[in-house]
Amino acid sequence: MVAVVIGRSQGLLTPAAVTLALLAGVLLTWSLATAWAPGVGWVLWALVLGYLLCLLAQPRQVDAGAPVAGAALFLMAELAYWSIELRPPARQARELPGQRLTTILGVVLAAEALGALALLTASPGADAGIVLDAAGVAAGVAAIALLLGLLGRHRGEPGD
Amino acid sequence: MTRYPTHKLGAYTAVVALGLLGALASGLPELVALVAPFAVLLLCGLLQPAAPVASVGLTLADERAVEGEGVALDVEVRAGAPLEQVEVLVAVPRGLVLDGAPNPTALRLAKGETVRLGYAIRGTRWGLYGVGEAWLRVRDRFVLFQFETRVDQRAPLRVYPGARTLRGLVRPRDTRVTAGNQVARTKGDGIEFADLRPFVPGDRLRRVNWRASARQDALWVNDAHPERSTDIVLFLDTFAEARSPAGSTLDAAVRAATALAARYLDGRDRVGLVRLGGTLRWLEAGTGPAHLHRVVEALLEADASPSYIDKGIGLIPPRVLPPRALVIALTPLLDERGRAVMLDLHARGFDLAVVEISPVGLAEQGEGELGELALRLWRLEREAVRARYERLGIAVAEWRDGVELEAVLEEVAAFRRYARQVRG
Repeated sequence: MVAVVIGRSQGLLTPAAVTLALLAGVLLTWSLATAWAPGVGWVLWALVLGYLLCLLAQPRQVDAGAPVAGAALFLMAELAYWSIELRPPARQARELPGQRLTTILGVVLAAEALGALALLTASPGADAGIVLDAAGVAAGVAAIALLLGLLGRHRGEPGD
Repeated sequence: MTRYPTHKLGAYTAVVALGLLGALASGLPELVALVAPFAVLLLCGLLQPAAPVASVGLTLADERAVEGEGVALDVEVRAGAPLEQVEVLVAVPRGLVLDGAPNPTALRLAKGETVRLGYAIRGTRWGLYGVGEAWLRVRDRFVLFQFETRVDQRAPLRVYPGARTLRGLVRPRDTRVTAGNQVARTKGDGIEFADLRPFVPGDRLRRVNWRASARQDALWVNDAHPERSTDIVLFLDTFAEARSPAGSTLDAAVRAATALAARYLDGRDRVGLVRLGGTLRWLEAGTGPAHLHRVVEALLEADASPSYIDKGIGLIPPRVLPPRALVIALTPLLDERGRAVMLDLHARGFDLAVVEISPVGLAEQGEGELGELALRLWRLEREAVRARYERLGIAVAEWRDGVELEAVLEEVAAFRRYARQVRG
């Protein structure tokens, strides 16, 4: 992911993107070495920001590799959290790793399809009318609202 | 069950919000594709049912064990709903060790499935313990939330001190009138030969020493030492203890007291117990196997809790310290109050033997020249205390690490054979 960010960065935003990517790499190493789970979250933020800077720096064209980059970012995060979870010595049931890998791969595949659909809809060849733009904005707002709503519902349950 | 969000939940929500808001603000659809996996995982994780249903049962096979002996502990985990990842952690009090299945253990359970985990819990130090506390942690399939609960099904576990069998014992100065295994210093009916004396009317014919009578031209009879029982009071000084990870002076004192009580009771003597320290506890002298159980139970509660109260033996009821009892004091000689009690017992005329459980091996030397000097001064002070006891005729022997208790008792016995009692 660091390589992707560095490879794509151009122009004035290059030093910032490179710095973010390198910082993320160092922080990830530190987090894994010390089993510091919050560090992985900061690594994700840094890499997403770095990627955003890359996108802003390059000529205006849709990056077809975004779903792959997203999948790589997701795999990195999942494996990092998994590694940290396994630090306390415990006997694992044999089926646990396989089941978790299946879940991760299932999520990646579903997300790839979703991401590809989003890119296809927004590609230059597609008919980018005002209706589609409005639908995209509405979908984005709805997604955030949905996530926040679900989080709020979980917080309000008696298990807390 | 108490629910806690994992770090992952916060991080993924933040990343998704950043990506989607960034995409909206900048018009870059790639950001949506970038954070799509995180959004999908969050959606799946937040839509799944919340509270998992699981129960844990802990069963301890026995409530008594000797140090080093294992007791089976069964942990049964039952799932009321499919549980993707369950972690079970059995809490082990200090002084106990858990063998068998790994602790903690991570499991995956189907609905209605029950898993039994077999452990053996072993006591490394005597004491009273509560065993049966466990922590259950359930993670959802996407590890966004974890649910934790504490299961408290504690049952008492008594770990008795592992006592070694002693052969040699400290002989008492006085005995009781009832029969026992101690050879009394007085003369009378018995097996142990004591002396020869002229025959007097009333002597039994079988006690006549015919060989001596033939030489002396008169009847002479054998005198013998009778076998009697005695009163033993085990005196534990619990004012202070020296402790290291490997053990403590109190641990050694309790093990020694158990061994002594077992051996003396085996010889039909009466054994009592006094614990003088932060708390004062006593057990009147008694005899028999049931009394050994009482002594050991009383020893299990021994602890050297700090106290500033200056207690003396004046608080102990007279019946607990019979006048002709042999008092065996087990003391680290660390506290001035404990040292004073030894002198008080001696001054009151009790037959006293002191086993000093040496804390020297447990003491750490301070840094530098001053530390070395302080340690030397402390050792000299201890030697001065011992020398004072010896001058008064109190038998005292130092029990160091690696030395058998039997050798220490022999040292005490040897001192008592030649020592002269001094009052004061």
